[in-house]
Amino acid sequence: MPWRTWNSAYPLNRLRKEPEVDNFPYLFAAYNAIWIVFYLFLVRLYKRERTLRQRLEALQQQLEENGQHSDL
Amino acid sequence: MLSRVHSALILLLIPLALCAVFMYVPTEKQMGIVQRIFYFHVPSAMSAYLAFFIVCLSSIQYLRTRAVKWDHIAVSAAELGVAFSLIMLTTGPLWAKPIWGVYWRWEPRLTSMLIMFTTYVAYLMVRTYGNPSEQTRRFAAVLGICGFANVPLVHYSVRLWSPQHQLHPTENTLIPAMEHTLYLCFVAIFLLFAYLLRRRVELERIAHAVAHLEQRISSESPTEGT
Repeated sequence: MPWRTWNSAYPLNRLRKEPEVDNFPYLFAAYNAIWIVFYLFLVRLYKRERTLRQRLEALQQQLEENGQHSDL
Repeated sequence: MLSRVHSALILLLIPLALCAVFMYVPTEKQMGIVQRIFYFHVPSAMSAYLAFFIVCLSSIQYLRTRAVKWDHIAVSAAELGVAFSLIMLTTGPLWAKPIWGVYWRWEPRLTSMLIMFTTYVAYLMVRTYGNPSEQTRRFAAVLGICGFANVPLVHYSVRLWSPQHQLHPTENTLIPAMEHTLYLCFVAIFLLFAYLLRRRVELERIAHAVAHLEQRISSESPTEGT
């Protein structure tokens, strides 16, 4: 039975709680979406940073082997 | 040291903000628990505005000085702005569905927000698929400055258009507990934003150093062979 059709004999707190439960999946989905975006952004950031740092070290080593300084 | 304090503050404030949202703040009577999306939706929107403001300022500075550090800040802020806009554009419809009955309406704020989002996606596409040259950086800087013109339009769209075209309220009144929770979420999200921006700028700096070294090695290798 939809909560709006309940008569006033029902306790007021029941009338308020019913639509909250109905909306819970939206709240759950929204907060999940927030953390998924942050998580993906951070994972991508760390992966790119790790790859670039490895590449930078390899290039610096290559320059040192050639007897030059990297200037960085 | 400062970096560790910053990280520790984020690790402390994000759970605290979540506790405040789900345990401290009372449920709004008309919308119910779905209104709790508001506490992360609004700071995300403000962070996106801030990111695009940084893009605009850094782009102006880049065009003035041609110092590559401003370009690094601009592209990093643009990426973050798109991420925060994505959060806003995802959580907004999820909040709207139980309240308005639909996920999306072509009303002023939502439409202008979508235009702002696509503008900065275009900015990132220019940066990703364009040649890594000075010309691309200049073009992106101009796009970053022009794109910012849309930000005040998004923010003031609820006042600029007539009320019959609006679904967003023109004014919000919050009880003290809601205000405190919102401020806490603002601080937590802004700290996270600052952390991510710092890391992203550092990444750009490393990428620039790698490109510089690669160029140097490739320019020196033919002379070694002769």
